Amino acid sequence: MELGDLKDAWTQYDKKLTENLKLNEELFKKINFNNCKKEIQKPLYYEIFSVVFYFLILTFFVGASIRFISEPKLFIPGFISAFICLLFLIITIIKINRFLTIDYYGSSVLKLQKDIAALNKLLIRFRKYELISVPIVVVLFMPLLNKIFNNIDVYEHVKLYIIEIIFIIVLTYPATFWIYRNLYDNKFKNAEKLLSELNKFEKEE
Amino acid sequence: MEKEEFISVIKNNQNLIYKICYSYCSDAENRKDLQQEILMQLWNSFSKFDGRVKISTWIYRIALNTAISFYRKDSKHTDKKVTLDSSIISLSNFESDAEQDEKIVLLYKFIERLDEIDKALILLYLDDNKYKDIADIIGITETNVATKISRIKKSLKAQFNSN
Repeated sequence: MELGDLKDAWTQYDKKLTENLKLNEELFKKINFNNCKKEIQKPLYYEIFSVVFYFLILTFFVGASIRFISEPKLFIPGFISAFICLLFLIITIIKINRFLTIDYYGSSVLKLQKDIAALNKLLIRFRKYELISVPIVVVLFMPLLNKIFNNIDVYEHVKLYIIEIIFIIVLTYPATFWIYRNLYDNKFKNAEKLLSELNKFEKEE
Repeated sequence: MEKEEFISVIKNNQNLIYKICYSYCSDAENRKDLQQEILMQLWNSFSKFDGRVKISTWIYRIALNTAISFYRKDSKHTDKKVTLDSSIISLSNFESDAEQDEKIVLLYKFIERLDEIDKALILLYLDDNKYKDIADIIGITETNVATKISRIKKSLKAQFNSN
């Protein structure tokens, strides 16, 4: 069989499709097009929500740290927590910027696929840092929380502080490890694999 | 008015959407979802279409990108709004003929075996697009398009001769 025959067959097939394809307008109208954008932009809305959340937490951390500015043992961990939170906030803004700069409707196939794979890699990498950092922030901020809400100085009750630290680490790190391994690790590897395949495809001539 | 215009554009280009869905999804259920997703994406970008490229180029880009992303998704059916009973674009009365058409069935089988980007390339080639247009839609050079299509054609010829 010659390739020309196949192409002719395809042309004939296309003609038949033109004559016989039907658009089900009733069904078409059933799609709630007004909700389409909302559905597609869900990840973006999640990041915007994160910005608000981190901003509120940051404000609280900064406020609480300033309150104890004369007590370095409380101010320093509070300041470090606020700094980590500020990093989260900046990272989330970077993610939103990346979301908004991708041209979903004007890019070529290869460019859009590469952009999406790169964005996925970035999102998952940042999620990993977030997962690792959250327990650290909790441990660091614990002395301030104890002081603010229970008026307890954990440095005078070192045993209590150590128990709290152990409790947090034992509880959170295995969960963090499990979440990353089961939810994100494979996605990260897939994004990385796709990106390298697309780069290879683009280069080989 | 915009919706009527959109429906008219889709009607004029439904072949293209149908063939892309058929090439990227062998499963009928997933094909319905992919059709719905492509139409959603086309609708979202419809107001941004400024006529700088041909309407078919615009549809190919969005439909192929959606199909490739859909194909790669880990979990399907997660974000659709309506579960459709049947396909939005369907064949009225010649589906059985198509199945009997050995060449087309074999072509689809061959396309199914290709990776996502090669699928797009061969579809654009079979639809008689110029290499320049294919290069523009895929985002590679014309030389690269020529090389890759020649490689796919060789493989296609070998597989058809072995059948």
